[in-house]
Amino acid sequence: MEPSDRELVEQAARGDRPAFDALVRRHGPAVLNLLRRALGRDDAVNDLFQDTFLRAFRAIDRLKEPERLRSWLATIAMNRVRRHFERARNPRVLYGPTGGGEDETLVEPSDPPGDADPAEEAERRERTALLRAAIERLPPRQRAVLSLRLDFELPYREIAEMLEITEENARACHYQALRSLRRLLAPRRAAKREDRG
Amino acid sequence: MSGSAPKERSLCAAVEARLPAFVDRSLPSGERELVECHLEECDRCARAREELLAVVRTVAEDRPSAEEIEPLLFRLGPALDTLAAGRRTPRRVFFAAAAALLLALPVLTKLPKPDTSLERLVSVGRLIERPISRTVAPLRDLGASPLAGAER
Repeated sequence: MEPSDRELVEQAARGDRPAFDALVRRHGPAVLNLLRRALGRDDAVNDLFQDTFLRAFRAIDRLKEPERLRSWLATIAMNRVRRHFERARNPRVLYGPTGGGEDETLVEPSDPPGDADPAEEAERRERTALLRAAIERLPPRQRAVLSLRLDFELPYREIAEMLEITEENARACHYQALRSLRRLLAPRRAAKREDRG
Repeated sequence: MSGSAPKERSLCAAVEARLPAFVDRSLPSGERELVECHLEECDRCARAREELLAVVRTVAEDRPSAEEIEPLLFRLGPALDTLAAGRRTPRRVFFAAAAALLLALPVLTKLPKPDTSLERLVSVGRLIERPISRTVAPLRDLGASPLAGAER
């Protein structure tokens, strides 16, 4: 049986590297996704990933509720994002206007699993690339809320605290993001329906 | 549903406005039931729900793979090692010092106490202050044999 977050946190707090590595492997994908979605096409994604986990390791012995590790990591990551944009004198990430409108992907979709059907895999990659382009066209705050809700599965109350907005605002951001993504992806769905017809 | 009557159209609009909360499972239960009833009889709204669910699924599925984390973890390694060493060292040093003290305690308690009494200090002081001639004199006395007077 895999050790719980609590067990790994307690071991990592005593300086146990393998325990902390296990936490990075477990929660790293969600943190990386949050950073990619919040920052868009920014070279700083990997640096902020490192920074987030270094800060987490430094402070892990002060984490009072290890079962809330995931939202704690999300908070650290979002603080790093905010600082990054403050330093760049570009606080657009959470409060500014919408992101760019180009149809480029944020990053290349991950490599396919070895045994996937090539046609299905091509379809998946296309869908992912379109989705990422659509997400990048959302306003930064909507992107952040979308990731915190779907990648971290956080309640709106926590999302609101993290982004210093009201709970209602957090809900509205998420709902609007879903509506916008549906609309942005609609032309592709219509074309698919026509192909099938 | 034809969707042509104004009343039905406004109902569709009201349901569509609530669909994101519906697929997010955050719609209050009373409203949820109303939306479910409408979706059973309105193809257009049901399709809109499917499209939203597909969006949620695709966003949730689009996650970095475990392989993408490994190089990042590798880059983190040296800095984490330094932090880990720093975290372990003070504890180790503390325990080592405590253990050494415990081991030395019985020996330390059995050592003879230094004689710091006043007489002792005074006698040591006198010895130090005494001139060499006075220290040597008793030796001369020791050397005074019965033949000494004869020599004179």
